[in-house]
Amino acid sequence: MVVPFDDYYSKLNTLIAAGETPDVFEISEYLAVEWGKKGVSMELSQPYEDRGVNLEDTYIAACLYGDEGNVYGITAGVTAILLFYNKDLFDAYDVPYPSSDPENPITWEEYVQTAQKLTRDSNGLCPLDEGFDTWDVTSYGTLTTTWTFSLTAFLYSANSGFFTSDGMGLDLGSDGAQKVLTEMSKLSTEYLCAPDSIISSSLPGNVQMFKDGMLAMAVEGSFMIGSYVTEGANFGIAPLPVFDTPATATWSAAYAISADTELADASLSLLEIIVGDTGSQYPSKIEDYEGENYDAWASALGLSESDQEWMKGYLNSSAAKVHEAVYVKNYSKILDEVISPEMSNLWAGDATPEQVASVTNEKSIGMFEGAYELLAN
Amino acid sequence: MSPRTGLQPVKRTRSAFAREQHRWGYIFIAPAIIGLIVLTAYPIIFSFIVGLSEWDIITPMNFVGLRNYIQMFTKDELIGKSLIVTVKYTLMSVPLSNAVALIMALLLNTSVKGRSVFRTVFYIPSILPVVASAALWMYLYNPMYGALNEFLKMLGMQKLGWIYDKDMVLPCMAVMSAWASGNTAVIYLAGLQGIPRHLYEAVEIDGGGAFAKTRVITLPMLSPVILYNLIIGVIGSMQTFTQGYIMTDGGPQNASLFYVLLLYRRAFKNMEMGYASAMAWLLFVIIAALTLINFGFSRYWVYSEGDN
Repeated sequence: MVVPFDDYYSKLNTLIAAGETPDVFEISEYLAVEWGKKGVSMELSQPYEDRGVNLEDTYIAACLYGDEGNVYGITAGVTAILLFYNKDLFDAYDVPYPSSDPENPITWEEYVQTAQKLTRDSNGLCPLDEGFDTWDVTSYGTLTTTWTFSLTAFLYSANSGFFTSDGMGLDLGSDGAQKVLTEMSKLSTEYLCAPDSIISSSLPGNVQMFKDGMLAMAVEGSFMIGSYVTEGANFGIAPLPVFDTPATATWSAAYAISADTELADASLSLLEIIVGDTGSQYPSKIEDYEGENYDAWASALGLSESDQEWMKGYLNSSAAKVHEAVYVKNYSKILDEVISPEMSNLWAGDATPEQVASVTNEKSIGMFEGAYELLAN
Repeated sequence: MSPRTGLQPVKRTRSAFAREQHRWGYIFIAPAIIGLIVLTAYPIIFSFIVGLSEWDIITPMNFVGLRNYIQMFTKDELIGKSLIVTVKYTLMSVPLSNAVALIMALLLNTSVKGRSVFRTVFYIPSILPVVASAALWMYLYNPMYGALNEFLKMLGMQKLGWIYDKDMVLPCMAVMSAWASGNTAVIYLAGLQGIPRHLYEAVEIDGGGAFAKTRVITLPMLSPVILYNLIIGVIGSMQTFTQGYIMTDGGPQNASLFYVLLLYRRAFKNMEMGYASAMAWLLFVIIAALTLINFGFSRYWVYSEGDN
């Protein structure tokens, strides 16, 4: 039976409540460790050790979700935030593609300038031209990165984050975070290379906009590569624009085994298949990030040869930092109830970055529970 | 023995046939009774118990007394925000839907040609699933490609944000609910057709016109139906969920964060079943109170047969 993703967690929770936890199940990144600590999912290091598999030697650290040396979930590869660009629009306006050097990605300033060059109204004018009509834009240079998962990667690039690394507070008041929020909100209000919050909400998906020539650059998770390939968009990928240091955020849903399983051995075997070579869309094993193994992965994914080249090792590099959703306790609740509403005010122009930092700090008092000690951190 | 007649009183006994009839009666209503107990009474009692507990489904329930309720009133500002959103929406959508439905019913009650066709056309939106009508209205309200903004553009006017504008989202959704008020219109129509013709004739004899007929006959005679639609409308609006969930996900800036949407998030996203159950009970109390208030005020404006 196939359960639609929208119903997946309702189904899973109901099964758990009924005492019928599936032997092997997928679990959201922000619940993976919590459920392990609560005894729903099995600790995996020891059972695999008993089978002769050392998890830390086999999988990249970013794929192992746990706490204090215990592992409760393994991800089927990691996804990372990347810059997708529309080759058709870059070619049409003779603008060079963004740098694909992971050590030297384009800077934020270059990103803004590129986006401005590629934003056009129906008269062919760009925001730098006199008479540019913001209400009649036919192609946008980029979009404001409002999705908190993507925005986290920019915050990392400014040596910041939504949360402090110990998960005991918010970091939105830091200089780095303030810089990111200020610059990001300027994309639609000052640089005029991104739609405002109202228009953004009503736009079609990014893939469709790429195909229709309506969007030049988008910040997306690497999990979207498949959709761009399938839909036939003429695209390339590049590392994210940099504020201070090259960075991206990695995460993925994890796979776990029920602590109550009566088929432990079979479940461990199945989990290995799911997160290993045959079940995973992205590499999760250390060996998959090397040589021909990686080439096979990247090629199967549909990446161009040049993108395959720069992506090699990127997801397992120092620029790739585990997303705070994975290790900050109570992440989802703090995000939904405190951060997201204030961020909406920021994108709508109803709050400044300073106000967002101040209000979120005030509202989040008493909600912090710390952070898990991931192997990757 | 009866002192006056000398007859022996007869003790009533059930015949075997009557007992058989009773037994079959219970058997026939058993599915409904079982359904009521299992699907209604049990969940109600269970949700009350859960509301007094902390429960994330995956770990055992932990009794916390009134903590969820105290938290709702003292710590959770989204509760107040979502209640304000829901009440605002109710204040917009219920009068608007009822006014549109009543006008629709009054028009459909006249002897126009093709009346049955109009009745069908007006009723169709109310049988559309909310999900489908939400998709339709999302297109109409789309600031980039929507028909409404295209129309404004044609008139040389500034485009609007519609449901993506925090100040417009609730009025937009209220208009959408009025569009789907065919059900209410049918109830009004049934009420209108139940008003005796001779009452209108009496007004005509007194020289009254259409306005007088509406004011002194139609509205008073229809007032019990208006009360019914008002109460059902308030109950339905206070439980609005789908529009906020599908069209705006509670946004922009929580401007369409309906109470039930917040409840849903608490239950199925944050896995706070205890807290969500407590929220459901608070909603039940609020709706019950509003219904009682409506009934209380009805004595001032609802005409019932036998009243002066």
